Amino acid sequence: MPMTIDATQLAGTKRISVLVLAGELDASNYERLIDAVRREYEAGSRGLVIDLAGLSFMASSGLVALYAAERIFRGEAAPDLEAGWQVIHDLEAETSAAANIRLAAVQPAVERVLQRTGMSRLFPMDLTAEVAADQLRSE
Amino acid sequence: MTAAESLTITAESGHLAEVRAFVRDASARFGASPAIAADLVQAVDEAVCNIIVHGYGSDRGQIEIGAQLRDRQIEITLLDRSFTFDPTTEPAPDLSVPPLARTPGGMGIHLVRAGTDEVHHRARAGGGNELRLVRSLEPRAEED
Repeated sequence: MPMTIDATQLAGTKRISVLVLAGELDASNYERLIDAVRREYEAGSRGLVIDLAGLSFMASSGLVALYAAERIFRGEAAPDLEAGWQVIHDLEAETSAAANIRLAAVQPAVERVLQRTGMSRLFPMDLTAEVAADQLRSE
Repeated sequence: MTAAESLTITAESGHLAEVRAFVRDASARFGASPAIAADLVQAVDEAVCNIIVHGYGSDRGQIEIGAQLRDRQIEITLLDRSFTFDPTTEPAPDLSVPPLARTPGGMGIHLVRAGTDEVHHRARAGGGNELRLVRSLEPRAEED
């Protein structure tokens, strides 16, 4: 199943974007997610909601994309994708949750991957994109 | 009861969705619960991706995926002709360490292990690898 990405920038004093993913996120398309995240950041967004209501599968390459998104929204250069998990190699120890990014409507199969890899500790999760956006506005 | 099916793909990431659909359909036909089928789909995707990216690299070899039900266990067999590599010897990532502080690597094989009961590797005569992923149809204790 191909993956689709729909981007919306919400109105408000703090610019927040919502990326709605649908389909399956894997090694063939994870770079498209990183490109979409980068476009939103470069367009001025400083908060990002990734709506996963329609995402039925996420491979470990999708986790790399989430790492990259976290890095981009911290204002750092995008990682070298050729390095795969090496993206995290040069980062300093980070014990707090990701800044400025929240996941919404995570489906069971994807949530299981996030939990099994420890990524669920890094990304706050909300039931809906609306709740996630409200949380980002209040930060 | 024994049943078997197979699929052969060219080693390209664009074929991963086809592999997942094959495993999903076979698992359903073999009577796997949705949770077990999802685990197998995840494990096979990661293992095949590993062969594509790290095994064949820029080459475009073939990968044969076989699915078999034997004694209430689903057995997925992956055959390739890339260089001999045993992913079962990869160390597990330290999940007690925060994600951004971990040393890299191992997340794919970690998901292979997490989604299966057994992983077996052997080098093939003439070069390449045989990887067998086994998952019981019986639910795990932590599953619903």
